[in-house]
Amino acid sequence: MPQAIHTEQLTKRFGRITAVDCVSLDVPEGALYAFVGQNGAGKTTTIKVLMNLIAATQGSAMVLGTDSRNIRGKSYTQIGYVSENQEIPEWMRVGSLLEYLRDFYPTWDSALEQSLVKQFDLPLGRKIKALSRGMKMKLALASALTFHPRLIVLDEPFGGLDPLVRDQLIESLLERAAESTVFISSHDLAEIESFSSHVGYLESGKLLFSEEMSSLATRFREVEIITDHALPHLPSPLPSSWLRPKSSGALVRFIDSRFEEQDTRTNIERLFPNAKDIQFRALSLRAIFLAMARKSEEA
Amino acid sequence: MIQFLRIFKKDVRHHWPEILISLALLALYTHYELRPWQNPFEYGSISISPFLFALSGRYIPFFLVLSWIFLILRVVQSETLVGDRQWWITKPYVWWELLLSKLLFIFVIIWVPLFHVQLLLLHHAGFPVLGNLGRLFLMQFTLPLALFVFSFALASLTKNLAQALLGVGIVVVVIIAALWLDSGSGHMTGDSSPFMDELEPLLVFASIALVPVWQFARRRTWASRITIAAALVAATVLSLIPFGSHVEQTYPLLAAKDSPAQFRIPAVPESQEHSSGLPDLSSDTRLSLPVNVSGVATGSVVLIHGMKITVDFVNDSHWTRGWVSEYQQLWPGIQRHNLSYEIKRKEYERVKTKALNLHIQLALSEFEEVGSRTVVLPATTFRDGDLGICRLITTGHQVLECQRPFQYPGYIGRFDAPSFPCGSVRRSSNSSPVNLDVAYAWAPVTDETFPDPGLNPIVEYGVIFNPLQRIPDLESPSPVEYSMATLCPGAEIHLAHPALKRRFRIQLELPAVRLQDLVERATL
Repeated sequence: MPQAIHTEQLTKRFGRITAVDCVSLDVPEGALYAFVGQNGAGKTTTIKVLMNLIAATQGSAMVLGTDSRNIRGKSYTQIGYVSENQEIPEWMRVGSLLEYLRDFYPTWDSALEQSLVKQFDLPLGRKIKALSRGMKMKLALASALTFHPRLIVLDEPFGGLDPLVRDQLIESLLERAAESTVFISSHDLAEIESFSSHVGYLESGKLLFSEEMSSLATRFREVEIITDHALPHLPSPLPSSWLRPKSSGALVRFIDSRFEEQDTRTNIERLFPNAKDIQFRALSLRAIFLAMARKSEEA
Repeated sequence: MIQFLRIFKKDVRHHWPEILISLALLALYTHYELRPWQNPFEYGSISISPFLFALSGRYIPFFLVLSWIFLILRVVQSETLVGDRQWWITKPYVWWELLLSKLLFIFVIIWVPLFHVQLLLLHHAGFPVLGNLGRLFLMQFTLPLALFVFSFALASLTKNLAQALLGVGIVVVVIIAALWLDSGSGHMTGDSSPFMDELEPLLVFASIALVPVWQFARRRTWASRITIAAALVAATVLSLIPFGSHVEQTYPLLAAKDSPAQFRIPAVPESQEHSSGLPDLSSDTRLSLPVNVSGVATGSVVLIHGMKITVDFVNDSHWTRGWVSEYQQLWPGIQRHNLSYEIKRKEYERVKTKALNLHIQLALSEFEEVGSRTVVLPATTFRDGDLGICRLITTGHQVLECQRPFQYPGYIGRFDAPSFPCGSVRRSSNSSPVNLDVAYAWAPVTDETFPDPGLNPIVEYGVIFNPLQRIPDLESPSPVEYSMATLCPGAEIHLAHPALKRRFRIQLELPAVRLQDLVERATL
């Protein structure tokens, strides 16, 4: 499958601080890719490098087949970029901004513009500085969707928005997802879990994994074992894919990050011969990331 | 619509208040500049209060320029090139169209109105517009271009007005430091090589003109800032490098007897060094060397440009500070001048009481009159081919006020007062040993192809006739009565264009002199 975004060993350092550390990821065309990680993990820096807003220290990135260092000007007729940190010209009115932008894009869809204005309830005559944060994000998203971009890049678009606005934005995004690749960064897992097709997890600048959501959900399981008597301590060594193992009396609990039912069961029977009950439970994305984050902290 | 026109239109809509302010100031500027003879040479006049000064419109050019700088900063920074959060950088802006839109804004909103005002000023002053159109275009490459290029560079490398102010502050500090270093070096004006003279402004101009283009294309702010800073530092360093040998090439040595000006150093009286009572904190001691000058031919003027003193010490060693600037005009007749030269206090203290041999070199140039003519001063304004339109200042008595397009002319003027009853005022004095009945006016020849920098194409200047302090008889006692030249309607003045005849250097010897006898002392 052709890649909308492809990076190899992408690194960005600010002095002694490594914000992005050898990130290699692929975002297939048509994917709805959730780029997640805690605040300060390096998500925004990675996006800025991809958008050529800042230069990489090392490594390379291709965006829609173009070296990211050449992303500028006309490249943005195919990329819709929205960030919570962007400085929109606040002196303009909503309508005049959309009118001003219209001629920049050969594929600007006036019907879609009207539809989004209506859907987002944008006040065309109001100055942008008088808009609420949610309204500004709606306007930014409307201006980024109206020209049918091949790639939509959203950097923390939902931060601080009320649930209603957030749902509206997600809804409109999903309506356009069929024709575009969406790359969306967020630290709020719950809001993107429901609609992402792919996920990448960044921790302290390092990409811990990048894969399809369905395979991720299959790969992680919470495992609960009940033994016939209390264990004084956990056997050692445990498989490295078992995250955050804990025991309490006769109960043992851990998260298996490479879950294959047969293999996991075999390992359990080898390490816990007196196990009398074994339960496997699917995990939410949030639980997976918390486990990953804690493992990383412990490391 | 083409992208740059769209951006231009947006900028005009956004910045209309600033545009109106700038146009209003330009209108005000035009109003004041259209008044003829607005800057009379009011010698000896009382100082004007700041309020009246403000009313006189002299602050307007300052505010006008300030409004342009502000406007350029605002319009360029509305799509700021600094930072990575700007909205426009993730839109399909083409960098050269953005650049073009900003240049178009400056051209249409600032330059075109200014150019029209300049045409009006030229016409109003009585000079032909069509005949001066070419030079008016050339004039745009002086102050307006420098101003716009500087403001544009500043705007493209800063994010907001606060950063721009900081940038201006840094530039001012660098210029003050460079001037301070330059003044401290005491180098003679023009002692750098012609190549360096060309290279320094070229380096500065090229960096501030080209770096913003690169900044528009690539938005590499720190690299751009460092490039400009490096160019400024390089130009400053180049300006501080002395090229003494170049002076000696430009001013070939002439035997003293062949010099068009004969110098005689009178006997130096012995003096006891005495303290003025105030501590002297300067690191230099100023020597003052009296010379009597004669032999300058009628119709000529000799200028002293620089001076170099070499001191022979007893142990066969020598000391010199090199060439330093010294400017004096030498006219026909016998005159007395004092030449100044600074020596390090430490050196001076070491040898001040010893008899030393001084070798004094002077770098000079001789100008002679070309196209001389006699003008009878009318009571009203008059036209002169070289000077432009002039009038006699009735309050100053020794000044013609003139207007001319684009640049100050070079001229030699002479006025012999005794020939005209109105032209000489006799005064009594018990102390003055001079006659002041011949007055000379002088301005050097400038580069006539390029207009002087400025906003107004009409330059207003004074032809100042300075009575020459001639020594009537060096041996006789001082006269008790002297006369001073005073211009008046009906008086004849002699005007000519100065032509450089030659540059040369002469060497004077001052044997067995004590430095302490030459020290210039402040009179308390």
